[in-house]
Amino acid sequence: MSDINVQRRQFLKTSVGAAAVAIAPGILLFDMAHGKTEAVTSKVRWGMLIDTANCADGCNDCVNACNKENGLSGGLSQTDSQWIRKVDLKDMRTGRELSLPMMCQHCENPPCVDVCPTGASFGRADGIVLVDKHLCIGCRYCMMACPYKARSFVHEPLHDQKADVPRGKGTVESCTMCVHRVDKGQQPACAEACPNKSILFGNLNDPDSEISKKIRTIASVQIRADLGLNTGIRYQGL
Amino acid sequence: MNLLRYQYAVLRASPLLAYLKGMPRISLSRALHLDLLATAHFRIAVFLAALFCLTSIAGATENYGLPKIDIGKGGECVKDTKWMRKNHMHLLYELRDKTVHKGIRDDKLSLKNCIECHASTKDNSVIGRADSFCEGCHRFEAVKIDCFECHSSKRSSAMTQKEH
Repeated sequence: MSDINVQRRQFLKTSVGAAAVAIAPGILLFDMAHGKTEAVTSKVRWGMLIDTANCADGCNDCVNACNKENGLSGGLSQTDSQWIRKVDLKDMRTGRELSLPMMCQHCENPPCVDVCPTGASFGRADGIVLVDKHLCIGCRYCMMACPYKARSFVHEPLHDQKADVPRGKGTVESCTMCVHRVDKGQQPACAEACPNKSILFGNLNDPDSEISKKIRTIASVQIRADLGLNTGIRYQGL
Repeated sequence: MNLLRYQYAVLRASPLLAYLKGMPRISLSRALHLDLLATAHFRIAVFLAALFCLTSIAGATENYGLPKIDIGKGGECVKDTKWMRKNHMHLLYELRDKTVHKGIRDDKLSLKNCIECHASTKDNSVIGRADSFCEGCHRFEAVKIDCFECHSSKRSSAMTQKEH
């Protein structure tokens, strides 16, 4: 190989190295300035563990936080959207009373997705079950299929929706696990608002996450586990 | 109704037409006894007037081609104005599917960010008035926008300030 070629190779090597050093921070800054540019993956499965023993009877903070975050009216009529409800339970034999929040259980095998004729109801790779309202035709099959009565239909035209939570008449909606917050690295509004820290949000697929450690050590159940839906929301002390 | 009016106008004009037909064929200038038409000054004046008419017509066509819209803060951040006028909907469609299904949230290319800059500085909105950023063109092109039946049309920073 001639001397000039070796020099040329050296020059190319150093210039490529210099270019990489110059560009790398730019790419990093670009990512930081432009939000999340990578698709969600199934390496993450978002879930919640709800401690019913800590959930105070009569406390409605999670429901109010949800309504505020997502711009829901908070009304309780049949035509009002409710994404999360407080449910009071009483064992009539023993008289034991319980209070717990009930919302979309973000199933791994969601019946709402099975029945959707347009593909509007779908599960994201990270386990969050959503409605793509661009595709939803408002048929409400999913509402009938859901064993948890988690979904609501928007009956009236809406105004002044939140910029991060688009909602509109003629579509079905439900708890999104505050997907707009989760994508920013924050917790869902209900988990953040709970005064007793009864709602633990985290990644079920990460063995080192707080939620995974806890469900490994304490007894927790899925509601209607017999249906084999593998819900992302688990309850403790039920 | 319009047809009746037209017929009426023809009937009224018919005696005049008959009179004009009976006239001998002479030049307009002679008929009106205007020797003025032949002067150089007059010819220059006519030329200038014609030129003025033509330029004003051209100006009017430009105004007709582009509706006047309130661009808010404005500025060019994604692509140039001409490209965006023609292709913004393709960007929005692609982006909405990426965001909803894959959770890719590009802050710069989001609808929220478009509205943040382009909402009017008067009412913080991109719709509602004849010159609003979205509605101005969409009214002109007669294309219905249904984005804002669900999405907020208001500048979100202004909305958060209102809440606090």
